[in-house]
Formats: sequence, structure tokens, C-alpha cells
Amino acid sequence: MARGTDFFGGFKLTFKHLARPRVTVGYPGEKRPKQPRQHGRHVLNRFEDGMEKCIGCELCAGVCPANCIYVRGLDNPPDHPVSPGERYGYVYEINYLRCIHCDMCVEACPTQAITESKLFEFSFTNRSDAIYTKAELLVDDDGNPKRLPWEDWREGEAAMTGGWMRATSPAGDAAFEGVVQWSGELGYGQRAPEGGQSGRRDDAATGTKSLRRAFVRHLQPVDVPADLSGPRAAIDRLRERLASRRRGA
Amino acid sequence: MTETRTSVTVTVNGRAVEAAPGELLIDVAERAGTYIPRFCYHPRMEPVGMCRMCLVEVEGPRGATLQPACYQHVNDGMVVTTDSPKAKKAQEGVLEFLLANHPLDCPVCDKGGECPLQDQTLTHGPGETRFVEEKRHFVKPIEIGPLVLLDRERCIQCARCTRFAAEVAGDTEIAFAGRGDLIEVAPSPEHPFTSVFSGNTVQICPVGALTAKPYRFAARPWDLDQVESTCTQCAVGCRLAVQSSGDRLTRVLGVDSDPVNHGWLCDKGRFTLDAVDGHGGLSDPLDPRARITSPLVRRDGTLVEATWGEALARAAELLRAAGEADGGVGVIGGAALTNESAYAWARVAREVLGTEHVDAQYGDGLDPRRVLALPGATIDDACAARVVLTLCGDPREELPVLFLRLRGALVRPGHDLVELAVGPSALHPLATVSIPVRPGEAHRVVDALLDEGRAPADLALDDDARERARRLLGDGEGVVVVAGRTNLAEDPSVVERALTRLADALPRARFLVALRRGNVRGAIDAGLAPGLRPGRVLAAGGRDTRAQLAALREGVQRAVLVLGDLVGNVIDRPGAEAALERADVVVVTGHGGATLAHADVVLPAAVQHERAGTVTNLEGRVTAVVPKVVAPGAAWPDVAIAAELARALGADLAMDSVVEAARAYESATGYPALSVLLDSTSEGRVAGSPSAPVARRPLDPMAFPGIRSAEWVGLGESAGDRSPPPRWPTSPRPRCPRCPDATPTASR
Amino acid sequence: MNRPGVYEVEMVKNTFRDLIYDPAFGGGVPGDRPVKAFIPGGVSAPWFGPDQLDLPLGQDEVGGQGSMLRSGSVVVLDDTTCLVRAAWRITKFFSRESCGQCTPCREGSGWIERAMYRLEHGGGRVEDLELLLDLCDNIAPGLTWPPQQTTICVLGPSIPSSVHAAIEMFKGEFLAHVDKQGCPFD
Ligand code: SF4
Ligand code: SF4
Ligand code: SF4
Ligand code: SF4
Ligand code: SF4
Ligand code: FES
Repeated sequence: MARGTDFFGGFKLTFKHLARPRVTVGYPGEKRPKQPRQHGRHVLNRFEDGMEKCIGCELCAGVCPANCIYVRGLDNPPDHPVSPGERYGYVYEINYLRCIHCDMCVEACPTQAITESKLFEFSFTNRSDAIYTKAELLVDDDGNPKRLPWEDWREGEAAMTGGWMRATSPAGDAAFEGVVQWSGELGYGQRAPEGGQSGRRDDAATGTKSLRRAFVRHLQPVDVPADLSGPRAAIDRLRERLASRRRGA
Repeated sequence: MTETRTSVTVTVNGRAVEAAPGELLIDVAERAGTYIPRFCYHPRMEPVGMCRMCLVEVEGPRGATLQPACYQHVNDGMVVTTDSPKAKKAQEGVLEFLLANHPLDCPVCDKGGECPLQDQTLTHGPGETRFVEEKRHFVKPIEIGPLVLLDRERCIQCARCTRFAAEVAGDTEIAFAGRGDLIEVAPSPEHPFTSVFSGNTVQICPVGALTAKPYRFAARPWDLDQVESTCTQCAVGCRLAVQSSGDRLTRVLGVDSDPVNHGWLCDKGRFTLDAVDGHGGLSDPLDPRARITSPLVRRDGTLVEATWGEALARAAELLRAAGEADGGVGVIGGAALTNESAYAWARVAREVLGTEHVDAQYGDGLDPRRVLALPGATIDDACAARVVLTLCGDPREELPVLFLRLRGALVRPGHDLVELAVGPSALHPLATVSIPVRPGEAHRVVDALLDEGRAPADLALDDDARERARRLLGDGEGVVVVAGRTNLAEDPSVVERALTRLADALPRARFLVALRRGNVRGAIDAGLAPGLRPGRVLAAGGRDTRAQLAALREGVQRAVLVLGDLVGNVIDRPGAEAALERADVVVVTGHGGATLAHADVVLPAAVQHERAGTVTNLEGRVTAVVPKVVAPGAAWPDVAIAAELARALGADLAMDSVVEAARAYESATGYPALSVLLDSTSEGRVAGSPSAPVARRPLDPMAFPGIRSAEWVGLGESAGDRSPPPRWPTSPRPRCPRCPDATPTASR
Repeated sequence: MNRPGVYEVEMVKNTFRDLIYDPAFGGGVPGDRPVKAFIPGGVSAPWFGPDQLDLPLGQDEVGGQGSMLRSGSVVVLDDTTCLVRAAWRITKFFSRESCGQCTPCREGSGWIERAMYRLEHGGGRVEDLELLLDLCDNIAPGLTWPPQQTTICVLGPSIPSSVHAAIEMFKGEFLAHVDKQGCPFD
């Protein structure tokens, strides 16, 4: 026979969670900060002098597992070259009905011409809108991504187009973690090196936290990584709070 | 007599391998499954040992020394190690040296992705560079000819291109200039690189130093799709790999076919892809560069677009009316079709239109009945012949790759050329005896050559040359006559009489009939010739092209079905226009042309690289053609047009597909159409000979970069493996049967 | 040399010391400076140090010591000579002499020449010594005597002999170039 207290015992978990911070936000009115390695829609970057970085080499098209990139190269017109060197991409299309945002194209690109922004909130009502052409992918004269009518850009998001780091650092060497490999173009996308895969999960570059860190108080003890528990983590948290207060001041 | 050994034993990496004496170590090792890296070595050219990539350790009196495997002939008891630390270090060292001055152009380099330098750097190279100095710089691509660009920074000085020019093509328009690390390939200062074989240098260049203008930046290797097919631009029938990207033809590469083209192509065969895509949509039907994409019917004096139903009905109406009238109809053209289409049209002509007036040649060939009566020779026979007698136009202009093959044989000792010179020909420098022939006199010169006694004085023959030629020809044993039209303006009977006389006087000689047009031999075999039924069956004679045109002009013949561009191809163009002006004309063609000015109905056809089937080259070899792209607009393959036209005329050919046509052809005549069609990458079969189709040799991607050879499991697929074995052993290096050990003399 | 010139000497009986110091022949080094090294038989021969001055002038005798007499043109380097510069000049000669046919000679000579130039004119690195020896080894595997070669002709193994000898005999001088980032003799 069940005892009366069991009834209230059932509410224990509920009350415990009532006191905890809320994790849901009023999307789409409000958005969570995006993760540093969030893969969104692509941009084609320019050099500081405005030249296009893409050389039309089709390496991105070759590596794309979804076969959604179409590139054609052409000789650079000698009088007004589009990109440095001999060749430039004169057709560049990505079909977002097929793209799985794996970022293989970004890894393959020898010139860091293609990177992904954090924008995933775009929807279309027909096929041709879903195929982004070069005119739409290429950043504008200031280095900002073009904003299409069906894309939901928020304040500050446009600056995060170069927020990119190779998932595999060169030669797979951990020594390259934390090294800036990406020099932004036209003043955009520059950011401090990412913490990497072995360091702490604090990312000064984007000011975002890993999900584990954000939800640490909601996780089962076994799921909390070692560097987020214990006195060490408490000191870190304190430091961070002080630092953010200083930033705010 | 000393006994010559027929086989030696070599030890490669501890394994004993049988080899023929004089074989190159690099080939022997490859057959044994040990792949030695290479750059300068090419199986179709003499080795030079320049790049030093193939260094291996060979035991010798001074201990194991490093020797280039491509320059080392095997001898008995040789002990070779290809993967010792010393050999590997040498190979890595050479690759590092090659890369020291090599630019990092891979992303924009046309070779990137199929580059032997890339591949072998991955398999045999050092991981990282130690070169910190400034690299060598040259102006980026320079135009060295109308079709070829040279990027000297990328050149690794392997001399494949210069050797091809000097050794294979025999023209020295490119050569090395300078010395040390500033050595560069340079076009001759006198004139640009205009050789008709220039594209081959681009194909065999192991890096992206030589690039072809038409292919520049057109695609990357990974988005190319490939079929193996046969060139139908002339009667040599070179085997080629046709590559497209996104249903657009991008590139053609030569496939190494042992009996035919040895991997070479002429620039006509290689660079005429824009003819297929119609130069980007020219639409004037009178322009021979434009593609016809829809059926056209003449209404009120102008050609207007029509549906297939309307056009076929109108064509049937005209042809039926003419067939019922006096004089009837005739068929002209068809030398550019496949065997199956030619067979289908021959049956339409004979069975449906009921006419014997059929001729695939535009009056520029030879009497097909005489051609078929001559004892035939293959290209290989001609190259192995003791004496080659030429009575034809300049083969380099008319049958370019046949010229390469003949030249390759004639520069070796033991082969003589007797030339009946009708003009300055590219073979002339190789001739042992050259006897000038003026237009219209070929038969008299041949008579004078073969008859004892004095030659008629008006021929102005040199008695000494005559005597030497007669001695060389003997009774014709070991003689191959390369015979073609010497002069298109003279009457064909001049050459025909000369050939008949030669066949009588040299009973043991054989003949390679050098008819020029793409599949003219196949069209004749299929019965598109007056007096010949499909399968070379003699029949009552009909009118040939000249007779048909005359009959049309005189009103004796009323209608004509033209397969191709008649006006643009005949010699007597005004005569042809006058004839067509009076006639009812139905044209089946893929391209525009002047003929269409006189057409009443135009039926659009698929052209090369858009149709399946088989073709027959000048030696009678049947090989497959494979479609790569879809024909534009409403164009159909010829087999389908013939079948539908027959249907509109109330007959059923029972040929609704190419396979059905090939099956019908093979079962009716024994012609190897279906068997070759179903084995489309084979070397084909010489019609009439019992041999089964032979598989072509697997292609080494280092020697034939860019061609995907299905049988080759080599570097391209398994980068990282240091000695990837070819799945099938390659055949021994082909040697001339007459002079197995002879090295070619540069020129004679 | 006080008396540079062409002399006829009796093989084997005379020594290098005779040739260099005998007043009838070379007549000694100007200013009586000490010999730092000498090249016994043309610039393609490996170098000898002063301890080999008493070697007889004979093909076999010189060959036995790891060099060659061949052309018999003896080059004497005194202590005012920068050995790095000397080796660089010799390599430069060979890199211009190379016909450019085979890879190790064409690219190797140019690379070694450029690395030596960099060492001599500042910009040298310690690891360059190892690099140079390895490049030499890639042209003449093992750096043995008589040399093996990866090249077509014997110009190849001639290229590394001076650089190899200079590094073997005067490593300190190379390191001084690296330290000073320039030539200590300037
Ligand atoms: S993110 Fe992945 S799927 Fe999308 S375009 Fe790039 S490679 Fe293709
Ligand atoms: S985006 Fe990068 S990888 Fe893609 S074509 Fe352009 S340069 Fe090449
Ligand atoms: S030739 Fe080969 S290695 Fe050189 S740039 Fe081109 S692709 Fe790269
Ligand atoms: S251009 Fe190409 S084929 Fe010619 S030497 Fe240079 S690398 Fe070899
Ligand atoms: S020789 Fe004739 S068959 Fe061969 S590639 Fe040239 S045109 Fe084509
Ligand atoms: S030296 Fe043998 S392949 Fe070049």
C-alpha cells in the first residue's frame, strides 16, 4: 500500500525545478546565442581590397557530399581581375534544399573564400529561391553578408560570418588549437582563437557557452565534465563572473 | 649461328620474374606487380632516363647501385630492389627536387586532380617541403600555338612533349632552350606550335605545364564523366575517351589502342567538340556550324519548323511520289553514320524506296567494288611491311594518325618507303625512292614502273629510281600499298587503273585503302554503295553520286534523300546546286549547310558523341561508338529516323533501337556489329576475320593522365600505398616485329 | 700563390707540399699565410686539409685518401679565405654548368647554391647544415668515395663534393655564419 507521503514525494522533482533558472526563451521574439561552430548559410568572402577570394577551383563542389554546389571557372579578365591569379569563379551556386551544412566545403577551400555564417533561419517557398547564386552569397562591399528578404538576421549576427575554425586543425595537430587561422576580410569575421577541443569550454571570441556549461545545473552528475564540477569549476565560475562584470562596467 | 635466348629471369624484390631479353626493367617490374614511380617514361616513346624518379637498386659488380628502371634493359640474373631504404630515399629526394621550383597552383591548374605529380607526391614523396628560397618565376601561361598554352613554372622538364614532337610527330616546333634550372620548353622562334598533333603533348604532359586552350578551366577532373568511343572525323578510327561535365562535352583524350592509334590523336579529332554543341546556338540552317534541332519543312519557299509527324509525312509523300515516277529516287551520303544507321538506310533505299542508286561517297572516293576486291592489309601490317608503297594524298593531312603509325615504322631500319609522290608530302623525307606523279598520270607511271624496257619519255621518270623501286617491290612479298585518291580533280579511274595494275603485277602485295571519310568503309560494307548490297554482296549497278547528280540535272531522277551535307562536300558544287534545284530533296543531317537551301524536308539527326553504334575504319576494324551527351532539341539518332521514315512509307524495318539494328545486321550478314557494340571498350574486330574482340591494354594513369581506365587499380585510387599493383598484368612493351631490338634512328 | 702557373712535376715522387712551397713551382703562399685547405684536382674534387700536404702527387695515392688528382689543377685556400664563400662560388659554377637534363643535378645544384648564398649573406639557420648534407646525399647517395650518383652524368656527384667537404672540415665556420647572420670574413 502506498503511503501518503509518496504523493508529495512525486512533486519533489517539480519543485526542485521550479526554483531553477528557465532555459526556454520566447523564440522567435528572443533568440539564444548561437554556438561558435554553428553552421549556417554560406558567404563568399572578399579580400581587403575588395577582390573575390574564390578562384573557381571547384574543390568545394568536389568534396560536397550532398552535391549541392555548382561552380564554373573562367580566366580572369586581365584589365579588371575579379580575383587574384589566373582563374575566378564566374558561376557559383549552392542549393539549400540539399545542403546539410556539414562544412566540408569550408574545409576544402584553399583560399578561405567560402565560410558559413550562423544564420540558419531562412525559408523559401520555391526552388529557385533555395538556390543561392553568387550574387547572393558574395559579401557586399563592406564585407557584410547580403540579407535576403526571407532571412532572419538579428543585430550583430552579420559580423559572425568568419567565426569559423577548421574542425580538423592542420594536419590534425592539437598544437594548432588556439592559433588564429582566419584573418577576417574587410574587417569582418575577425575573432580571437577558439579554445579548441582540449581547453576549457569558454569561448571569448563569441561570448557563447557550450550547452553543457549552460545547462550544468540541469545535468545528472555523471554527465558533468570534470572541469565543470568541483572547487576548480567554482573558482572558474567566479572568475568569469568577475570578468563579465568588468566587461559590463 | 648463336642461339638467342627468348627469356631471362629477373629478381624483383625477391620475386623471380620471366622477361624477354631487352625489355625495360620498369615494364618487367610492373608486370610482376611492382609499380615504380615515373615521370619521363612513356610506354609509347623511347626512354630517356631524365627525371630519375624511377631509381631502383640494381646489384652489380660494384655492389648495389641506383639505376633508372626505365632506362635499364633486363638481363639474366639481374637482382633488383625497388623499395630498399636507399631507393626510397632517392625517389623521395628526386620528388623533393622536382617540387622545389614547382608552384603551388593545384587549385587553378587544369591537371589538378589527375596530376601524376600530385599522385606520386602522395605515394612516393616527402611529406613537407624544406625549400625556403624564392621559387623560379616565369610569365604565366604563354601561347605557344593556336591551341596550346605553356606554363613554364609548372614544367618538370621531363621532355615528353619535345620527344613526342621530335620522335613521334617528326616536327621540331618545340624544344628545350637554356640550361641548368632555367631550362625551359620553348616554341621554335621561326613559327608557333601549329603541328596537327599538338594536343598530344598536352595529354602526355605529366603536369599542368601544357594546357589546351579549349579545355582551359572548362571543368575539373572530378566532375567529368567518361565513355570510350571511336573518332569518326576520318577513316583511321582512333579510339578515344570522351568526357563531359553536366551534359556538355568538355574534352577528348586518346586511348591507347594497340592496333590503331597508340594513344595519339590529331587535333581535328581532339578539338572539334564545339561542332557538336553547335557553337553555342547558331541558328542559321545554312551555316554548317549550326546544329539542326527541329524538323524543318519548306512552306511557301521557306523552311519552317515542323513536328516530326508532319516532316515524316511530307518526306514520305515526296519520296513515294518520286519512286512511282520515272527515274525514281536516289540516296547520297552517309559516310559519317554508324554501321547500324548505314545498314538501316541501305535497307530503306533497297526495300522501301526500291532503288539501287545509293552512294555514301561524294564522288571523292574510289569504286567500292574494286576496293573490296583488293587483298586487304591492316595498319599493323603496313607498319610491319618490308616496303610501303604510297599512292595517295598527304597522309598527315588526310589521315593524320595513320601518318604517325607509318612514320613510327619507317624511321626504323628494315623498312623502306617507295613513294609515288603526287605532291609534297610529310612522308617524303622518309622515302627511299620517290617517283613524281603528275595529275592524271598515276596509271601510266605505275605501268612504267612495273614494265621492263624504257619508260615513255613524257613521264620524265628517273631510270635509276625506277630500277630501285622495282627491286624493292619484287613480287610484292612484304609490300603494303597505301592507296587513296591522289587528286580530287582527276578522274577516279586513274587511280583505280593503277591499283588494278599493281594488284596484278604484285600478287603477294596487300592494300591499305586510304579512303578518307569517317565511316566510309562501314557505309560501303553496309551497302550504301552502288552495286553492293549489305554485307559486301555484289548486285546490279546503280548510279553513283556523280551519275545521280547528272540524272537530277537532266530530270531523269526526280528526288534524292541526302544523308549529310552534299553541297558542302562535292567537288562540283555549282553542278550539285543545279541538280538539287530541280529535285525534291529530303535531307537528314545534324548540322546546317548549303544543302539545306535546296531542301524540302530536313530531319534533324544526332551526330558523333550523341549516338551509339559501331563504325569501321579504313583497315576494316569494327569498333564501338558510345554516346556521351544527349542530342539537342528534337534530333534523333539515324536508326530511329530510318525506321520511322520506313514506317511512314508503310514498311516496318523492325529496328526500333540500335541494338535491334545491330542484331539484324549481324544475323543477316555476319558483320560483327552486335558483338562489338556489346563489348564497347574492346579493340574491336576486323570484319571478315574470325578473331574475337581483344580487350585493350589497361592504361597507366601516369602515362595517360585523365583517362579513367576501369581495369587499372593504380595510383589514382589508392594513394598512400607505395607499390599499388595493376590488377591485370600489362602486355609486354610492343616491339616492331621486323626489328625487335632496333632503336629508331632520329631521321633518315 | 706567389707563383701561380702551370708546372710539370714528376708524378708520385713530388708531394703537394713541393708543388705549393718549392720556389721552382708555386713558391709558397703570399704573406706566408697558413694553408687552410686545398683542392687537389679541380673544383669537382673533395678538399684536403693541411695534414695531407705531404701526400704524393699520384692518382692512386690521392684516390686512396678520398679525393682525386684528375685535372691536376690545385687550388689553395689560405686562412683569409671564407670557406663558405668558396664552396658557394664553386656550387654556383656547377649550377650554371648543369645542362638541366636530369632532376637531381638541375634542381639540386640550384637549391644548394641558393642555400649557400643565404648562409654566406646572412639568413643562415643551424638546420641548413643538415639540409645541405641531405641534399648532397640525394645527388651522390651515401657521399662515399668513389661517389655514387643519382644523376645521368658525373657532373652530378661533382656538385656536392665541395659543400660536403666544407661542412665536414669547417663546421665551425658555417656556424659562425649562422651566429653572425653574415660572413665573419667581411
Ligand atoms: S555545408 Fe556540406 S552539404 Fe552544404 S554545401 Fe558545404 S559541403 Fe555541401
Ligand atoms: S569557394 Fe573555395 S573551394 Fe569553392 S571554388 Fe571558390 S576557391 Fe574553390
Ligand atoms: S602540375 Fe600538378 S602539382 Fe603542379 S600545380 Fe598542377 S596540379 Fe598541382
Ligand atoms: S611541358 Fe610538360 S611534357 Fe613538356 S617537358 Fe615540361 S613537364 Fe614535360
Ligand atoms: S586521325 Fe582521324 S580518327 Fe584519328 S583522331 Fe584524327 S580525325 Fe580522328
Ligand atoms: S628517369 Fe625513369 S621515368 Fe624518368
